[in-house]
Amino acid sequence: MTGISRRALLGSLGAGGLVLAGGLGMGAASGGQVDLLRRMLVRLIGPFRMDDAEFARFAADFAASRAMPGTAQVDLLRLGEVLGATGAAERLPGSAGAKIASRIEQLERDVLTQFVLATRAPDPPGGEILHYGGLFAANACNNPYAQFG
Amino acid sequence: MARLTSQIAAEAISGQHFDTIVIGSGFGSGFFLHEALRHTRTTGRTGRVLVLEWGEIRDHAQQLADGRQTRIAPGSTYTNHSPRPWNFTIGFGGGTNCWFAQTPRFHPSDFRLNSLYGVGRDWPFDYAALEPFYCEAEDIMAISGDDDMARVLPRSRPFPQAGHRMSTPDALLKKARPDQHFVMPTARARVGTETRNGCCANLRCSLCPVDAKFTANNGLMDVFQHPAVQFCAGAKVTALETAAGSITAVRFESGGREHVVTGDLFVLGANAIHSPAILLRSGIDHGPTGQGLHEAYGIEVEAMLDGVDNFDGSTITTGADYGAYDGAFRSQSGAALLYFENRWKFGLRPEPGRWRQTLPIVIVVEDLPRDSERVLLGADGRAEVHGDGAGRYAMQGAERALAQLPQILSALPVERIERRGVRPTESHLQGSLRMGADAATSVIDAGQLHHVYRNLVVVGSSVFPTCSAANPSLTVAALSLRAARGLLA
Repeated sequence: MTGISRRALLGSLGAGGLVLAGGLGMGAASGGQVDLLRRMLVRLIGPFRMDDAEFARFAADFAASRAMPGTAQVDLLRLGEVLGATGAAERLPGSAGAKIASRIEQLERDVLTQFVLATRAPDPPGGEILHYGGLFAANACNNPYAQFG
Repeated sequence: MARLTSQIAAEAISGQHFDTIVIGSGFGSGFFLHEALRHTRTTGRTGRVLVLEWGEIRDHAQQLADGRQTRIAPGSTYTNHSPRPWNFTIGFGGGTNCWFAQTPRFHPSDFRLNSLYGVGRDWPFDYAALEPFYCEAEDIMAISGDDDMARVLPRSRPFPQAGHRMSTPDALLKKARPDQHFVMPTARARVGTETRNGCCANLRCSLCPVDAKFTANNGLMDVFQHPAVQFCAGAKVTALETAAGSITAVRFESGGREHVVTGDLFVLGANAIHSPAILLRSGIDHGPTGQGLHEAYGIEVEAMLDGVDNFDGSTITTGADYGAYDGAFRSQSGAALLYFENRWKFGLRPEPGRWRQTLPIVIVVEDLPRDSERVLLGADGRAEVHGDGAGRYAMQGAERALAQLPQILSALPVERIERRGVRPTESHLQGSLRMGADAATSVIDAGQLHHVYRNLVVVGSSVFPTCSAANPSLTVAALSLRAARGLLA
């Protein structure tokens, strides 16, 4: 895992782009996707407690709801999470770095948003066990923030 | 498929004569009929009415089950030689199905663009002439809004429903800018009605899961099922027939066969691409028929806030700001209406403790109709759209509004403003059969009667002489009420 430079990692991401994962998201997320999403969420919101099977269901629904990175890109993003290289794309020269960083940020914001809405996770999550209640768009009248008074 | 009690098969009406034949069943046609049938009760003048609708009838449950309003993709119905994807719904209710139910009125200056700023055209009547019909359209759709909006858009009646709850950023802006910032008026019910549930901020307005927005299915059924009305779905109008300066008949296809019906009065409301295409196929190419197709231009930004949470309003869009709308600048750049979004269009913020400290804003800018943006016919008679996209007037208006944004948002703790891109379309096609007093430069008159064929009424946004930055549907509804009353009263 140490034989790849940070620049090579991000360059590879840029070359491949963040493309649709063919065949994934139709009922299951790959192990790599599940791992990537969990690592991203832990970094973004802190440690949380959730049954693995429930999280896998969330990951599958999330992957089905949007364009996801392909397998190779997922592996590189996971590596970035492990190495703590998640903000490095912005430091790449030229527009490529900004483009990659923007795509990664959009993935981060999407998974954060969908996870928080689907679990009603508090900010920060704390120690309570989170449960998956389905993606926001799969239900009605489930806006946790709207007030009507 | 769902059925209307007034529904009838093409074969059953083929060759028959009707007093009034209406083409299309969206806002323009629905509100024209709403008013015309009201007069029928007292005068009997509308007589026997036939509605011809290209698409099928789908109720709300069917649309939800299928995840779409219609099986007819708009792009499959015309050939597009312009950079925009023109969006519309072909089916019972037309645009009432897919709209987001934002209902700001047009601004008084929108009707006098040429007189005030020397660009575009004046409408053949002013805001005051349309104001009573705005009120009636708002009553029919049970519009929610704050009467305080009369500071910018004068009104003679209160809104039928109270305004939605503003988000916290909107409330702060309202306090700082009481004359410019308002709760967005909307046909997403603040409280439930007999036929609609109250909006619960699902943020999926194109196909509302709880049926809270006004649609033909929940708001115009008494019109389309009126005893005087017969409704023929799956009837694609191909052309009108003429004789001695009048429209005499409508030709349409249904089930692979062609049919003809004759009539006395004809109402054309088939949207701003297909209405001109029908006229052109009929050899009715008077004046600028088909020219001037346009829509507003939209860009998106995200304001990052410091310490203020968003998303606690009660519907998808809770604020409308007029700070970049009207002024001498309109001689050079378009009016801009700012829509304050109560939804996480770009996601929650990733920073811990700041998830909701983001404010998405849509900046919608008027454009000037250009004759070169137009509907033509292909060799096979199919509608073709030609054009180059948004004009410089609109893009300059967007840049001007962006430059004004820090000042407009000065009451909020804004960290930074991020540009998030150009919207591919506002889904508001309009202007291809413009109204005006001069038959050489317009297609229909102030009463929406065709300048040459005086038994042809054109309804819908195709009649707009200029653009406005506001959503068109309420104005379409008000115009149809006015046209029907002028014709039948």
